[in-house]
Amino acid sequence: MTNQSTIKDSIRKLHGGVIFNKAITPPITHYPTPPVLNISLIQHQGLAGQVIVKIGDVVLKGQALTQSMNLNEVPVHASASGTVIAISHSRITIKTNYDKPLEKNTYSPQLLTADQLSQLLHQHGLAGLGGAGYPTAQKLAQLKNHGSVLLINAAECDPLIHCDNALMCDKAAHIIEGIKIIAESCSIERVIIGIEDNKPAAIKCISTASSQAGFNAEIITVPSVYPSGAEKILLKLCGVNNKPSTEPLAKQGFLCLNIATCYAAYQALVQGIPLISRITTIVDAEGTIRNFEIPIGTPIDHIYKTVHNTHKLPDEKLIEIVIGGKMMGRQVSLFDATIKSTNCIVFTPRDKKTLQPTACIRCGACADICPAQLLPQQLYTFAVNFNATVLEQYQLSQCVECACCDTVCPSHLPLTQYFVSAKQRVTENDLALQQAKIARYRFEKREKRLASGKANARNTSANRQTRSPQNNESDTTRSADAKKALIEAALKRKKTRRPSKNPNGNQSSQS
Amino acid sequence: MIGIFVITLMALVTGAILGFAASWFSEDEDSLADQINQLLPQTQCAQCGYPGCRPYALAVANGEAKINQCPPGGETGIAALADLLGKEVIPLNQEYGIEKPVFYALIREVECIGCTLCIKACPVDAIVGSAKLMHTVIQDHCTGCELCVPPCPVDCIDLIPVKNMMSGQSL
Repeated sequence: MTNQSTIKDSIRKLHGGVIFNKAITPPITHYPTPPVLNISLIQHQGLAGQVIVKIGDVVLKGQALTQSMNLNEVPVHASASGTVIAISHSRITIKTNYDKPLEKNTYSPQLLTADQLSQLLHQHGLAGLGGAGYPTAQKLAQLKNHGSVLLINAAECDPLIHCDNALMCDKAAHIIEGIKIIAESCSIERVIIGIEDNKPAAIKCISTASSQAGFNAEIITVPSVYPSGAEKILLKLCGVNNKPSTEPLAKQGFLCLNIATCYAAYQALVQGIPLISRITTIVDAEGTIRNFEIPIGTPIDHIYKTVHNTHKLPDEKLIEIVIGGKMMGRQVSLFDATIKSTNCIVFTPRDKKTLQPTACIRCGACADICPAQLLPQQLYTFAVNFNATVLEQYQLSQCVECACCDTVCPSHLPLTQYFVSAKQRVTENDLALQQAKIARYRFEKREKRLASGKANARNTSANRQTRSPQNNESDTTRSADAKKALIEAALKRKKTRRPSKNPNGNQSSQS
Repeated sequence: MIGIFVITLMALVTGAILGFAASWFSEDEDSLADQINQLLPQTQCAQCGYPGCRPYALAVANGEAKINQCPPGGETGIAALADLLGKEVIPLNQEYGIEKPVFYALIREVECIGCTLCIKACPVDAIVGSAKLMHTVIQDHCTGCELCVPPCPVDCIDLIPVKNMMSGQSL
């Protein structure tokens, strides 16, 4: 084993995809603490943890606001010191009127086991910072024990996102340290870092840092074509063999982590800082691109005011706010706040003309551009006329939702939207089928039990008849009467709310 | 002469083999009922007039019941049954009920008197409790059949719409 990292070009070429020009590295700028923070309870794929603060509590920077034992309920932390002024079902609002800087502890972490690592990352609120926000601890828990591959995703392929690039140039040594801890705790020997070839500075920083740390990682430069940063596509580009499967990648033995997640892991494990801020790229209305280290939970309107140097809020009809980049982004309003996976916020003047979708002309342009090599026009047909079996035959689950097909569609069909909702319907169908299976099993068991019970009852009543033939009045009606009396007695007890003082109730329950 | 004899013999033997094969590998009624049962929603609500999904599946397989008597299955269920049986898609017979959102039952536990009537009514054994002690519904196993509601003497069972975990909308 050589203690030298290697830089290689990717062997495979990307099928289709969209090529953008981008070669800038905006430096990371400090962002002021906003007066109010809106911290969402769910900032990841999963459920909210249990809120452990009350309205009026003073919270310190880095203090946990929710907690949970379940790995899919990632805790959230206060991004700045202040007072809790509101708690709703979806978020906690903190007024940052109390200034106390975060105390950094520096531990030198001993060798952790995979379970300890997973627990620590969970407590520090780590969720994937690449955009999807999958709980990192859950990913680690799903990982199989032997022969896993750690793939570090440093190919931020979206044309407007630059945060990881800046982070790699700035904090390369810390990132490598984070990767090293994760790889060693999970006993992973093969570490691949996939970086796009239009970031020479970042590649240099990372390779120097890993050589200095004596860590051998394969650094693979991948073509700078969108969506090379989608984890399934990146795996393919890095020459890792993976078969199309509906199982999560971690279960197949591929641990894919975003490079920013590795930095957050370093902060959590070495400095003891929970995930309370992240580098976010902001594109303002004039098109200037800047990187800020933004506290999580900063309201979007505060960001707008800060980057545009204004006190006036814009008309939401005139400005479009997109979170998550040009291709995969989704629209938000000024009253939302940033979350852990907010890697990019784009403010653009709203276009007046919106193109109306027309019918599919089956030109096949979407199939040419699809990086997952699927047939989007077929998927579209079966997503509209929903058919789960056929959709699975056309491998809907392999769609990475990159929206390349949307950009080339001459009919302006929002294909990706159809695929996302079809995927959701497939999951719901599977869930319903599973539940039906359980219900059928329980029903059949009950029928069997009732049948055997009846047989037993017949036997006992037959016995009783042989013993006392003079007493064989209508046995069933009598027991029904007794039951009715019992219920009435219970009802009366409930009404009077005097437990067991009712003589009627006592008598009938004894009879 | 010998040719005629051989060919007749071969015809008889092949005929016998085919005849036996038909009876050995035939699709029996039971397996058809099973296939129908697979398509039913397993709510076990008995709205179809049969005491559960499997009895209804048997009745459909025997041609005693029509395919449009299952309200929880709804239009999609009827379409699936029609596809399996090679019948025409017909609208749901409103006499048996209408398609509703999915519910689960919830017992208001303070009001429960512990009469055990709902436990007996539940077709999937999703209610736990004992005589004169509080009862409760195991939500994960409740199919929303509503069979526990009429027997309850104190009317302490609510039906709550099941929320979709991802979109938050009722199913």
